[in-house]
Amino acid sequence: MKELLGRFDNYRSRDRLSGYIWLAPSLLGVSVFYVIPFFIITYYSVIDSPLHGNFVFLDNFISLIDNSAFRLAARNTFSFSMRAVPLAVILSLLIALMLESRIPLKSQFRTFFLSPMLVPVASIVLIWQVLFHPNGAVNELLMILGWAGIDWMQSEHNQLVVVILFLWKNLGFNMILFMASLSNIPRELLETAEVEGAGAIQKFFAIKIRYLSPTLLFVTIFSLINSFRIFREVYLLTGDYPYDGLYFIQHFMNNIFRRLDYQRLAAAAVLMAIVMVIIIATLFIAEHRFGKDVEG
Amino acid sequence: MKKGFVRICAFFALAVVMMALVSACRNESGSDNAMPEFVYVPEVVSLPSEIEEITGVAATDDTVFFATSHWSEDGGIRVVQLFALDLATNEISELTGYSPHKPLPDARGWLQVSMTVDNEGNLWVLETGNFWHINVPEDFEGGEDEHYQFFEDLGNVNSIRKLDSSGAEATLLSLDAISQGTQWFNVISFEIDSSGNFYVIAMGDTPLFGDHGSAIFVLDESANLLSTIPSEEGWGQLLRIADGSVAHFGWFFDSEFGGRQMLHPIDLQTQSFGDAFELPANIWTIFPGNEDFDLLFMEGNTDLAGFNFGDEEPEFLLNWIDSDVLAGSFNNITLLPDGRIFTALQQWGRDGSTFEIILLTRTRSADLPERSIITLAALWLDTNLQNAIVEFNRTSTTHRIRVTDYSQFNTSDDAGAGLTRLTTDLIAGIVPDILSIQGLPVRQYVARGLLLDLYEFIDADPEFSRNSFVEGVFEAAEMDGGLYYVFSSFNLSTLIGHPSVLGSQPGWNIDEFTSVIAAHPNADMPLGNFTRSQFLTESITLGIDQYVDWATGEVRFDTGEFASLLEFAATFPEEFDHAMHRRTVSEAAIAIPMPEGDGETSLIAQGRQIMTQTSIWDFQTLQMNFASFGGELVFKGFPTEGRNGHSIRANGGLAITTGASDRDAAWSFLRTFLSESSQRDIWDFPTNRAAFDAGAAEAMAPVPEDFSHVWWVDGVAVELRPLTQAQMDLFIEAIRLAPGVAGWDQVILDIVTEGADDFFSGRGSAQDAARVIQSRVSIYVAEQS
Repeated sequence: MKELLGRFDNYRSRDRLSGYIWLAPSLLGVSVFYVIPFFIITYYSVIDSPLHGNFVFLDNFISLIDNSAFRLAARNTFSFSMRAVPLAVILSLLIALMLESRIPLKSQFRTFFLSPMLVPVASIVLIWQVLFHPNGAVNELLMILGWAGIDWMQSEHNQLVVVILFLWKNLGFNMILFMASLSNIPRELLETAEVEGAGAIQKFFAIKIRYLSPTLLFVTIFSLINSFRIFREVYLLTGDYPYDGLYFIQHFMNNIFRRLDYQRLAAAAVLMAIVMVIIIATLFIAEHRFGKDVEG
Repeated sequence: MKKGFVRICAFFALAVVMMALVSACRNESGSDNAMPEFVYVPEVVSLPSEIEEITGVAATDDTVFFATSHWSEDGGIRVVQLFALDLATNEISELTGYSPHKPLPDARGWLQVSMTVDNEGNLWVLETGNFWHINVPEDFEGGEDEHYQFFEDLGNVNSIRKLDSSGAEATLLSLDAISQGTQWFNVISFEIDSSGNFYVIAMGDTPLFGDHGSAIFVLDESANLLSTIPSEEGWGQLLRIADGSVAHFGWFFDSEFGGRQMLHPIDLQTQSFGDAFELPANIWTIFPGNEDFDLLFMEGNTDLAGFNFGDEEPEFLLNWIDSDVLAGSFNNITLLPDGRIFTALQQWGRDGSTFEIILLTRTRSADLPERSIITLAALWLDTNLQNAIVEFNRTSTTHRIRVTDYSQFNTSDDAGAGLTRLTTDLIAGIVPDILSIQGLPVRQYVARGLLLDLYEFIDADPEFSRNSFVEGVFEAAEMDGGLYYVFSSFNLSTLIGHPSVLGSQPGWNIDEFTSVIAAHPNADMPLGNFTRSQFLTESITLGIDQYVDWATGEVRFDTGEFASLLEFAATFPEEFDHAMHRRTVSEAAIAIPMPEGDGETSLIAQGRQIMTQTSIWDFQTLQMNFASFGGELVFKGFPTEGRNGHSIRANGGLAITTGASDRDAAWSFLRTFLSESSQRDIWDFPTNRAAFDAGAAEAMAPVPEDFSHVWWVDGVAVELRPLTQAQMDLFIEAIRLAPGVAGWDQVILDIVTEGADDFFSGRGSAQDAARVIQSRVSIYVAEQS
C-alpha cells in the first residue's frame, strides 16, 4: 500500500489519478449502459433461455443463420449499406469540393444541403409518402413523361427510394465535415504542386485525399452507423413487415423481441457487433496505411 | 507493470459486476409479490333476503344508515325500507317508523331514496319518484281488466325530510322556493354543509333553472333560497368535503383537456363554481372522505385510493382482490371514524343483481395466517377471473393468489405498453406462476417452452379426465398435441342456413359457396349485412391453414385461389348503409329501401338472405337460430378450401408457466374453473361436460304453451321450441368438427387487410395485392421458423 501510494507522490501520477477521477462518471455510465449489457447479451446468446440457463454454445447462432428471414434481413442491410454509404461519402465529398471552389451563392447552397438535418423524422416520412405514393408527385411526373407509375414501396425499386432518403438526410452533415477538413489542408503544398505542374486530379489524389483520410474514415463510419438508423424512417413508412427489399436487421430484431425469442435476438446483436468491429477495424487499418505519411 | 495492474483490476471489477447482474437474470417468480404491510380484512354483513337494491348510505360516528328497495309482491309498487347498522355490534335493525312520502296512501309507483347526515348527526333523506293511481268509482260494475281507464298520473315526488331515530318524519324541508311555478320538477341530488345549508341539484322548466333547465340551489335551514348556480349538464354529484363545504363533481368541458370529470367548490358569494380542485387523472367516481382524506376514489378497477387536495399523488388504501372482496359495482364507500371502510357492493349475475354490505378492517399482513403466494399475471382482469381469485383466496388455507394486472401500464398514447412490460418481465425472468392468456401470443409462449402441458394435470386429477369436457373443445385448443391453457366457456362461430338451400353436409369451399348464391338470384342479400372486409377477415381467420403451413414455413398467398378470393370479396359492399340497406358493388349502387327496423331475421323470413355467419353462445341462441330457419339447420361453416370453417371461440384462458414454483397449487386454482358447479350459470357454453349436458337437457325440456317462448325479432315472430335430440346432435357434431380455437393471427390479418385495401381501392390488381401479401407474410412466417 505504501508503495502504491508512493506511486502517486509525483506530479505526473497525481495528474493521471485526477484524470481517472474525472473520467469515472463517464466510464461508469458507459459500463452500465453499454459494456455490461453487451456482456449480458452475450450470455443470453449462449444459453437456451433465461428460465433454464442451459449453456448451448453456438446453437443459437446456427439457428439464427439458418433462419431465412435473418438471411434476408442481413442481405438487405448489407446491400443497402453498400449502396448508400459509398454514395454518401463520395457525393458529399464532391459537393464539398464544389463548394470549396469559387462558385456564386455558395452560402445558399450550403444552407440548402444542411436544411434536411433540421427536419423531424415524422415530417420526412410524410414528405416521402406524398412523393412516392402510387398517386404521388413522382408518379405524376413519370406519367407526364409517358411512363407508367410505379408502386415504389412495394416493388424492387423500394431500396432506391430509401437510398435517396438517406442521401437527402445525410449529405449535408458529411459535406460540412469534408469542408472543414479541406480548409485545413496546407495551402503551400497545393501551391507548390501547382507550380510544379500538377493538375487538379493529381493534386486531389496525391495531396487532398491523404489529408482527408481521417475525415474519410470518420465520415464512412458515421455514414455506416446512419445507414442502420434508417430503420426509423423505414419503420414509419412501412411498418413491421415491409415488402422484401426494405426488411432490415432491425426489423428482424424488433419483431422477434415481441415474441420473446431473446436467444436469437441476442445472437443477432452479437453477430452484428462482430461484423461492425471487423468493418471498422478494416477501415482503421486502411486509413492508417493510406494516411500514415501525412504530416502531423 | 502499473498499466497491467490497472487493466487487470478493471477486468476483474467488470467481471464481478457482470456476474452479479447475470445471476439476477434467473427466474424470479414471486420474488416481488410479497403481501403489503397492511391489508383490509372483510366482514360481510348479512342482509334480509328480500332486499334487491341499496340506494343510499349515510354514516355517523356509530351508525351507518342505508336505504333499500324491492318490488312488492303484486309488483305494483317499489317498497322502500330504511335500516341502521350499529357499528359496535354489526347488527342491522329496520327503522320501522319510516313511511315513504307518497301523494296518496294507495298510490302505486316507484321511489328512490338517497340520504345524508348533517353536522349534528341527524339523518336527512331525499325521496324522488313517480306515482300513479287507479281511481275506480265505487259504482263501477266492470271487470278488473277494465280498471285501466281510471288511471291517474299523480306526478313526481321530490321531498327532503329529516327523520328521527325511529325513521319517522321530524322535519319536511319546503322546496317551494325552487319548485314554485314549475310544470315539472325533479331533484337529482342533495347535500348539507357544516353550516346547515342545503345544496340541491334540480331540473325544472321555469326561468330560475336557466337556459339548460338545471341548476344548483342553496337553501338555508328555513328553506330560503340563498344562491342559484347554473349547471349546464344537470347532473353530477354533490359531495361534502373535509372542511365541511360542499363541492360539485361532474362532467365539464375544459379548453386544455377536453371533456373530463372535475370537482368544483361552490362559492356562495359569487354564486358560481370556484376554481376546480386538481385531481389525479382518470377519476370517474368519488366518495366522501374524512379527516384523513378529502375524498376517496377507485384507481383502475381494483384499487381504492385516498386523496388530499394539493398533494401530488393519491395514497393507495387497498386492493379489492387482496382484501378478498368480489368484483362488482360499489354503490358507496365510506371511511368510518373507527378506521374501517364500509361499502355496499352490487354484483351482477344471470338472474339479476345482488347486494352485500362489507366492513373492511385494516390489519397487518404479518398478523394473518401465513400462506404461500401464487402469482398471476393478466393483461386484463375480467370480473369472472377476479371473483374466482377472491373465492380461492377466501377458501384456501395454504395459498393465496396475488395478481399483477398489466393493463395498468397502458397509456392513452400506447395501448400496448402493458404487453411490452409483461414481455420485458418475462425476458428478465420475472415469470408468474399463472398467466391469463387473453391477448397474449400463446403460440409463441408455447414455442419458447414457457407454458406447461395441462393434460398432465387433467390426467392426474382425481375428479377430471379428458372425457369430463365437451368433446372437441379442448382438442381444438391443442398445440403440438398438448393443451397449454384451459377455459371455462366457449361459443361456436360458424355459418348456418337451411339444408335444402346450402346442402345437408357440413363444410364447403368458395366455388360451392358461389354456386349456391348463383342458384338463388332472389336472395339479393345472401349473407345479410356482410361487408367485403368482414368476408375477407373471416376467410383468413378460419382458413389460414390453406395459406400458411406453420410446420414447413410455406406461404401460399401467391396462388390463384387467394387472388380469386380477393376478387370475390370485392363483390360484397364496402360498408352497409343501414338506413337504406344499400348494396354497393363497385360503381353500381343498388338501392334497396326497406322498412325501418328490419334485420337479418326479417331478411331470412323474406327469403332475401339464405345464410348467416353467427356466433352461437348459448342454448337460447341455438334455439333462435333453428327457429329462424324453420327448425332445420346445417352448420355449414365459412367457405374455406379445407371445408372446415367453424371455430371455437374461447372465453379467457389460464395457463401454468414452467417457472411456477408450486405447480400443484397453481393447478388447484385452475381446476376451480372447470368444475360443473362453477360452470352451471356461466355465460356462453360451459366446457364441463356435465354442465353442458345439464344445459342441453333444459333446452330440450318441454315449454308451457303460452306466449313466453315467442320472441318478436325485426318484426318477425320467432317461436323458440325445445331442441330435439337430432338438433342437439347436429350442434355437438359441429363443435367436434371445429379445427381450432379462433385466435386469429393479427399480424397476418393486418398484412392481408392492408394489401387488400390497395386492391379494393383500385390501386392495383388482385394479383399485385397477392404478390405483396405473399412477400410480407413470408417474412413474418420465416421469422418464426
